[in-house]
Amino acid sequence: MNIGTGRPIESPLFHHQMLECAVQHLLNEGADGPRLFSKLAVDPDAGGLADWCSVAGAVELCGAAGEAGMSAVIGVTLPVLFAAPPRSKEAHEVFPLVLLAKDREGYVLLCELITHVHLSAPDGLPLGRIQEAASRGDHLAYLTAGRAGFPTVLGERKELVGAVSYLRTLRQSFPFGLYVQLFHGSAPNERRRLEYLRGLARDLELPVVAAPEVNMGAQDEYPLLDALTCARLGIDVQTPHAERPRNDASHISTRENWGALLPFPDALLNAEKLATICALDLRPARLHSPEPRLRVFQTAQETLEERAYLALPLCYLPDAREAASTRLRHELATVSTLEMAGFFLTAAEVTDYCREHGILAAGRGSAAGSVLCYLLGITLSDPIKHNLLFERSLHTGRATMPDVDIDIASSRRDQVLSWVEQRWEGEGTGEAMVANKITYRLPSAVQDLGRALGLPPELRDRLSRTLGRDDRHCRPHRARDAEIVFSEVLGDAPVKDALLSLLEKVEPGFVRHLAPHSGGVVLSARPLTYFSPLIRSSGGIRMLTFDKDDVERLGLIKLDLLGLRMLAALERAREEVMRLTGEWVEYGALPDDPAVWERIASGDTFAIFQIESPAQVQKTARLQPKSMTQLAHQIALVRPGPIQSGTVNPYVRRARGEEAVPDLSEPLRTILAPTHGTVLF
Amino acid sequence: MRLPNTPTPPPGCASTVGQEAQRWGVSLRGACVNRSGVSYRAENERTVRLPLVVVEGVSETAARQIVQERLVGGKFAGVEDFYDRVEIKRDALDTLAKAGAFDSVDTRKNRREAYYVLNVVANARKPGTRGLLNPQTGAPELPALSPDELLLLDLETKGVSESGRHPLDAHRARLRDIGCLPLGSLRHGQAGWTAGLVVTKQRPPTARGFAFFVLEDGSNRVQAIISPDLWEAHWVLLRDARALIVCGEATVQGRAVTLKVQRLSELPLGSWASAAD
Repeated sequence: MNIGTGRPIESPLFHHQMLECAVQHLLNEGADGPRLFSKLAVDPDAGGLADWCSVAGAVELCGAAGEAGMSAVIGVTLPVLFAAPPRSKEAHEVFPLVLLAKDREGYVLLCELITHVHLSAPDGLPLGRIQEAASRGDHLAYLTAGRAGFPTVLGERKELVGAVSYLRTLRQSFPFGLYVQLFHGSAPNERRRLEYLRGLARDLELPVVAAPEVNMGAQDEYPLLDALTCARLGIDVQTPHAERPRNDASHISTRENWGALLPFPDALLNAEKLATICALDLRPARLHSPEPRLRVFQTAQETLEERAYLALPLCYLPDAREAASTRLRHELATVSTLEMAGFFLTAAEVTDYCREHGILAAGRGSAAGSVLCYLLGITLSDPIKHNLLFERSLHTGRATMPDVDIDIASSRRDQVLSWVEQRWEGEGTGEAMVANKITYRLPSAVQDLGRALGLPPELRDRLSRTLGRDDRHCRPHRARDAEIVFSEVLGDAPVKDALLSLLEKVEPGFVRHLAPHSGGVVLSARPLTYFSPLIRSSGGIRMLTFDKDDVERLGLIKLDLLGLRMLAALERAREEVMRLTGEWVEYGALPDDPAVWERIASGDTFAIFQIESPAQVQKTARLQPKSMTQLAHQIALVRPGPIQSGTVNPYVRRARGEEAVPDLSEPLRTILAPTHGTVLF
Repeated sequence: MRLPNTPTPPPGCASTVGQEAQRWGVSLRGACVNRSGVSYRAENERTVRLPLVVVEGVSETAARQIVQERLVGGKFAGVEDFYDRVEIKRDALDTLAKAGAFDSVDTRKNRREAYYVLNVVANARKPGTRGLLNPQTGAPELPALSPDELLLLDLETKGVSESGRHPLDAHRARLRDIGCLPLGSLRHGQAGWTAGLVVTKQRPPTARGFAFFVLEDGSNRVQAIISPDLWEAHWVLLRDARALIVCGEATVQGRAVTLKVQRLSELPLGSWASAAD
């Protein structure tokens, strides 16, 4: 993606540029995700990323670097508007500038700058905006970027005066953080270019840093990188383009190799120094809860306790109140230790809103085991009555997020989401959707790479269609498994092998682009730019550039507001019944009708939520469920876990009385009694 | 979390919705520009009116526009009146005519005629504008559509038919001739030939290569289990088939019927896209 050529920010391809400070490879567009860094463990130093207008790989990089015992460097390449020389046609010229975060504050500055580019200045950042960021302290390092950077480009245009004046301006703004970047891409005249850059730096008394541009893991990925670049540019591999990689030199290499190509001790030393200064770990020690509405002089914990104890007599009859109260006290203590009160109050605020506006909503997931959630009205069923454990959702030994998913009638989810956006707007950045990293599947990879190889659209569509239902979710590197399909459509044409060999090189988990998550919302008391840049999806939804795993690792708490079509249907049905018969159906208080169980047991479950699939129909007919618990067990049977662990058949046989439950030792026997001695959950 | 094996509720599996409604004693009424709303609506306790959005190409915005115009300016008097008052895309208009949305306003209740009139006015002026000099829209004598053609049009444009007919209805005698039992009369442990419309196709990764097809005939549905060998031998046919003739042994438990397929062949039905594609 190059903003200079007027491409939109939402590029179809999402690229990683990495900076491997082991020998400082500063990269441009990459064919590899940060996953690659685990492979780099042989180099015990550091690895880094400097993507184009994005830090989306940062959390993954920190994780991989942490595992490999390296330090991670997080940076970004930003388009910057430089004032053009007088009497030129355009007022500004856009050149990339590489910014590296020296510390956490630096990372926040990066996030703010990226957000600014995406939300308000898609053509490029005014230089003043970066100078303003620099004035907030010594948090960033600035590199003049590689082949597209202004020293190189202006040098090639023989506009030395321009290059010098830009460098002077930058030196004045960033007196201690500016470096002239030296790189080696095995292009013609590379040595002369290096001499020129070094001369420029010496004249202006600026330090140089060895930072070769790297954008692929291994040399043999060059065809893939080229094809992906072509797909992104919308051209085929026969069309020349300045942005296409010119050779396979920009792969990850060893310190010795780069040292031989860039034999400048000062530059190598500076690179090592930068890698040490800029080492950064984003993963925090504690979770951050969003801030609920509180009364003056009241902490979140106090509000939570007050609300829970007020609801206690309303939800429990006197005889059950004792047990509930003991359990509540225990849960509140856990919440207090983990400082999660704000989170529960926030979830309660959302469900309150739904109730007040007549929107059907119900919490689910492990939160259903909490008396607290029941009392707050987040979940609708009593965990004590159903014998559910609180520890499944939250315990003091757990540092990960509790899982509260709220199902909302799908037709009105937008209303809830826009209210949430307004409610936590604060400084305009307190709320955003989690992103989904859309990775390549066979059909999308065939479309993109096929276009790059010049396959006509009809042929590509036929290929995607023929891949059909079964290979649709296949990862591209398994393309050879579906070779029969490729042969059917493409015959023996040489393009078939070219396409297959390209597909095989696509790493599993290679991210194509970002799209908003279906329901994950992150709420935060402080601006979200503290954690991540904010971008707008093509549908206009504000989102983070991290997916749900990244968000969890960043210590943010995600609330899942999922749309459920069945709830929307129920909501409508209730209205229709009201209109036709004047009767209001209270869904919480429906009678347990034996005719319903009879119908379910006969296998006649068409259009019944969760049990209409053929597999469930078979199970209902065999198991003949008679209660909600039995039905819940049956639904739980058709999941990957029980199927793979071979729990299904023993459960079915024992439930039908065809096999005795084996004798288990005591704690297990009571726990597993309802599931006939099998581990279902 | 979406479980891997639960298919999304079929949005109108060919004729399944219609057949199921019939079994429960609910009659469906077709989409109609003067009666349908944006979403499904119960007209009384035994009748459900199809919404305008089931018609392919009619977006929620377009449906809203139609309903709003109807509320403001009264019922539509005919195809021409509709064309002059509502500004929606031409292909959506065509599909509405084919789907029978004008059946109740049209004088002769013939979809062909509605389509003819629509084309005459559409060639004369833009939609949403009232013309000064109007062309003659009287249609020539057009033959009525046969019930079979109506069914195929319904399935093609709406994915559901209010007629209560099933695509297999036209093939029953032929199927009886070759010894196919209807799905409803399969008995436990009995092997034999039967036929049905393919409603869903699944080949979950956990199933070690087995494929599960749901076949439908009227209000009966059967799960057909296809072994990896059979899949290997017939995968092109299985990928493209809309209806299948299969031979196998049935396991019947209440309404849950599974069929272990031993032999199979395609049943050609004509050209319309089914939801299983």
